[in-house]
Parts: sequence; structure tokens; C-alpha cells
Amino acid sequence: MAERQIAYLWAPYFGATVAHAAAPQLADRPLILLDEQGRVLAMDAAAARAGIIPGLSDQQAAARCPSARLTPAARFPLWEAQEQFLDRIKPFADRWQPDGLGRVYLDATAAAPGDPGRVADALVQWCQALVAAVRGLGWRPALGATGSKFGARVAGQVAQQNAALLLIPAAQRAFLAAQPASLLPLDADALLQLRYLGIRTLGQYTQLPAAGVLARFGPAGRTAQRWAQGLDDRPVVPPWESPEVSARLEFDAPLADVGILLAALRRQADRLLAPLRDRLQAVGRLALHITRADGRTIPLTHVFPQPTAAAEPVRLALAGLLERMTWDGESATEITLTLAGITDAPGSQLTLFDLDGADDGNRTRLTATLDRLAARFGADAFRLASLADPDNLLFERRAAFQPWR
Amino acid sequence: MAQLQLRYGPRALRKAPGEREPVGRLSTTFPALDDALGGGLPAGRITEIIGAATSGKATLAAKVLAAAHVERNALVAWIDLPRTSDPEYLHRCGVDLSRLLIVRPRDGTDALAITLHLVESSTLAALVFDATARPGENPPPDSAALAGSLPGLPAASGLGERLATLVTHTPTAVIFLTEPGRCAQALAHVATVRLALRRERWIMRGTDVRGYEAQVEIVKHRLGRAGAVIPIRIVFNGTVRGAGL
Repeated sequence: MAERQIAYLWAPYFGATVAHAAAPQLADRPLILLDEQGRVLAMDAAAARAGIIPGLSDQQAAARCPSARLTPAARFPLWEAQEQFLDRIKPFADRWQPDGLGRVYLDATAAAPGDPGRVADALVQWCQALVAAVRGLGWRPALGATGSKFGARVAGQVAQQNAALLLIPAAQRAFLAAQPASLLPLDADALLQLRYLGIRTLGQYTQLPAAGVLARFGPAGRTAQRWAQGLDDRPVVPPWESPEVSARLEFDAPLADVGILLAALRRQADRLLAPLRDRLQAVGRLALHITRADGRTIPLTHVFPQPTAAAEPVRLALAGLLERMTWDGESATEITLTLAGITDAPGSQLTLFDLDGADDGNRTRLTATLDRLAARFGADAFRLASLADPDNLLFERRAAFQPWR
Repeated sequence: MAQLQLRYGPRALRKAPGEREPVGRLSTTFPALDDALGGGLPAGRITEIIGAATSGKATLAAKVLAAAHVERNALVAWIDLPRTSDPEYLHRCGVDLSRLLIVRPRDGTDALAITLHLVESSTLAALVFDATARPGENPPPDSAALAGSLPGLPAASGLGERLATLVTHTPTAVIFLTEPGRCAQALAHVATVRLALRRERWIMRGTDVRGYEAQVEIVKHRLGRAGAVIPIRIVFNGTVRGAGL
């Protein structure tokens, strides 16, 4: 039986290139496209050189690249380009899996029969044909191929535009060990911690004690460590086979209060998202089936521009769906919440994993900063005040202090 | 140019910046002062407010924090070096305590290092650094550190310059509160705006103090005209209300 081969193909600066094609006048300054939550969705090469990465807030992006033009991403040109991109690669593999805009995994096992000790000529030809087909759309793609999804993605990132990097699966671990730790699919704060710890390469990360990684970076960190060790047996899952998770809420008495419904749904969504985050997975679609007291079931669906595992976009989507709901004077007796289109967290969507489920992106980032500062300057230095006894004659008794968290 | 660079180093000559991005402003909530400053205190810049105790500098800073909540729905921080901040008073000035980080560092060096990190995080709309002395404390708290360098930074890079460079890339308005005669020279040099406050008189009703009037002099203003003197009135009317005269 042929050894498993996974290919990762991506078109650099996909989103910005689509935006430039639609509006050439945008090319005069670095371009940053923002998603619905005001976070960086895509950027062009000039903005990337200034340090812009997907997931930054608009304020952070403006601070890093003050001359950039920040503009909301137009969904439909992006989706249209993505469809064209996927249509072009579909003939090359039975099993393919999108990994965000202009990025796709392909199962290349069938293209590489024969000796597992060397890269098969057939695989080389298959890769050349694939790259040529995508180049026909005007893209300058990069391609990586090896025995696992993580290895293929890293190889693809390392390959230059318009080039391919093919590795025999046996060489994968040695190749990965030399690559920068910034390629780990962890959130930006975890990557920063690694930098502070002096962990520069994937090889150094793989040598950390597993228990220590689990304690400091959680299950997601341990999962990433196994991948960096070449222990990544995730299959390529086509969109039509992508799994989903759901939860059902039944109410003793019919409910029409949107605030209460939203709070209940958010709790359920947080519960469903937590294990996905641990497995470095993300959600592409969110569906609600609301059964009203009159027996009618209303389906509502939200599709995310990029798959996400962060709590905030999911919460906003839930609020948006409930706003769209037509109640006709009826109440809800039952709601089924489904998180569908579950896939690997898209490439580079690093900071979309919020750390503690806080409801404010800035607060989450500030809390992460304070966690680091507390380790150096002491947790007592950072306080939150509240009014304890505002009318007390002694001013020091009017307020109470508590830790920031 | 090549000769000059060879002689004085590659960074001796720099290209002049092109079209400048407009600087955001945070209202002081005193209309006359906002007008004189061109819209308020500049975001992404350093402001120094100089004044003796009870001259109104903390109130002015608190009103800026309150405006940051209202205008930008943002988080703010107060570096409380002398440990004299009064959350209840800040609350009366309109500061939302749930969005106010109070930092009480061990000493000035820690305070400055924390300030750098917080500014770098780009998560705050405004940060007030209270560099006044503790009551009864004669020497200024580590004002030498303001002019010097921090551990971990190259010895030649002064904090003031480092902070001034950093803050221009963030949306944070950094406000230092200092006392006359105790201001660090480095801070005076890098501050974009310097305001000097003087209390003019208490506003009394009978024997009760109802507020006070103060004069704000714009000592330095890199983004506009300096020299104006603006009278302001602060009234303790249950809540602390400010009004330009």
C-alpha cells in the first residue's frame, strides 16, 4: 500500500490580490482587509512586511503600519475567487480540504505510488501540473508535500512563491525540526511566550517536556507539539464530510426574551467550542433550529468568512441570528444549536483563539499582557477598583481593590 | 550624502516623513481648553501636566480618561506611583472603574517598564502616569529614571525617547502628572504637549468648598500654538463637573 502523501497549496496574499483586482486604486498604499469584527483578515505584501498578521485588531494594525489603508473585506469577490480557486484544484484529488482563503490541502496518496524512500516522479509531475493549473488563474502559488498535514503546510510556507517543496515522509521530522517556531498553529501570545523562553525552532519545541507544554500552553499546545514531532495523522476531510457538533436547549415554559435566549445559547456555544480549540479546530458555519410554541421550526444559518474557534465571532453571529428571527408573537420551546463545517483552524488565523473567552478583544489582549507583567512585577501591582462604601468619611474605605482578572 | 553617511553613520541622514497622518484627540471635557489644543490632548503622544498639589492636574487627567470611555469605549490605565489615587473620586469624575486598570508598582523603574509594555500592547486609549511625590516625600520618585535607561534596554537609549517613539505607533495618549521643579528634563523634551496648572481660588458657599478655579497654561504644543492661558472651573457638585470659563 502506498505511503500517505498530503499536499498543501496556497496563494500568498490571496485576499489583497482579489481586492486589488476589484479596485486598482487601492494599490497606492499598503492594504489591510478587515473582517466583520474589525480584525485583520488579509493583507498585501507591503503590509505583511510591516508586521501585519491575520487576527490583529484594526488599532494594532494601524499602529504597526500607519500608512496602510484599512478597509472592510468585500465578501462576494473573495468568495467568488475562492470558488474559482477550488474549482481549479478539484480535478487533481478526490479528497481536498480548504484551509482558509486561497489555501487547500489535497490527498496526494494516489498520485505517489511506489517506493516510499524517494519522491515519486509521478508525484513531481502531479505537483507541477497542479501549480500550473492554479497559475493559469493568475496566482503564483506555493506548494508543499509530505506525509502529514502539518508537515505539508510548513513545507508550503517555506516554499517560495511559484515553487514546490516535496519531502519524503521519512525526512519530515528532521525538516520540521529546523523550521521556526512561529509556524506553530498557536495563538500570538503563546508564540510570544516561546520567544521569551528562547524557543526559536520547532525542534526546540518538540524537546520540551510534554507535561510542561500541557501545563503552560494547554491541550492545544500539546497537540501542536505532537504535530511538530511529525505525529500528525489527521486525514484530509472534504467539506461535504466535515463533522458538526450540536446541543439542544429545551425550555420548561416557552421563552421569547431574546436576552435570556442569547445568554443560554452563548453558554452552550462556549461549551461546544472549548474542545474544538483544544484540538486546533475551527467552525465554518453556525445553525440554529428554533421550534416555536406553534410547532413551527425556523432554521437560521450564519457562514463565517473564515472558519473560527474564537468565542466573540460566534457570539456575535448568535446575536445576529436571533435578531433575524421572526417571532410572530410566538415564543421558543426548543432550540438546537449546531456548529458545522468543523475543520482545521485556518492557516495564520492565530489570534482568533481568544485566551479566556472574555467579551472584549482589547481586554483579552490586555489581560494576556498583564499575565506576563504580573510574572515579572508581581500580581499585586495590577488592580481593578470598585466602590465599596462611597459615603464613608475615610476615603480609603470608599473603594475596594481586587486583582485585574 | 554617501560621504556624510560614511563619516557620521548610515542613520545620520534620514528621509523626511511624507504626508503626516492626522493625530487623534481626546477631549479634556473643558471646551475652551479643547479649542486651544486643537481638539484635546493628542492620542499617540506624550502630554505632561505640571502642577502643585490640589492644582487640578489629577482631575484634568481623570476627565480625559472619562472622555476616552465615552468617545472610544476604551480601556484606560492609571499608574499610581505615589499610591494616592482615589477610585471614588475618579468615579465621580466619570471614569468607568470596570474599564480602569490601576497599577501600583514598587518603584519608578518598575512603573516605567510597565508603562512601556502597556503602551506597546496598544490596548489602552489613555494612560495616566502619576509621577508626583508621595505625601511627605521630599525627593521625586525616580525622576532620574525618566531621563535614564531601563534594564534590558541598550544603555544609550533613554526611556523618554524610547517611549516617545513607541507611543506614536499606538492609539494611546500618555499623560504624565508632575510637580513644578520636579519635572524630568527628558520628559519635558519628548512631551508633545506640556500644560502647567495653577489653582487661582476656591469656590466657596458659606464655609463649604464647592470647587475651584484654575489656570491652564499651554507651555509647549508641538502640534499647535503654545502660550495660551485658559481658565477652567471645577465644581464638586455631587459629581465633579468641569467647565471652561
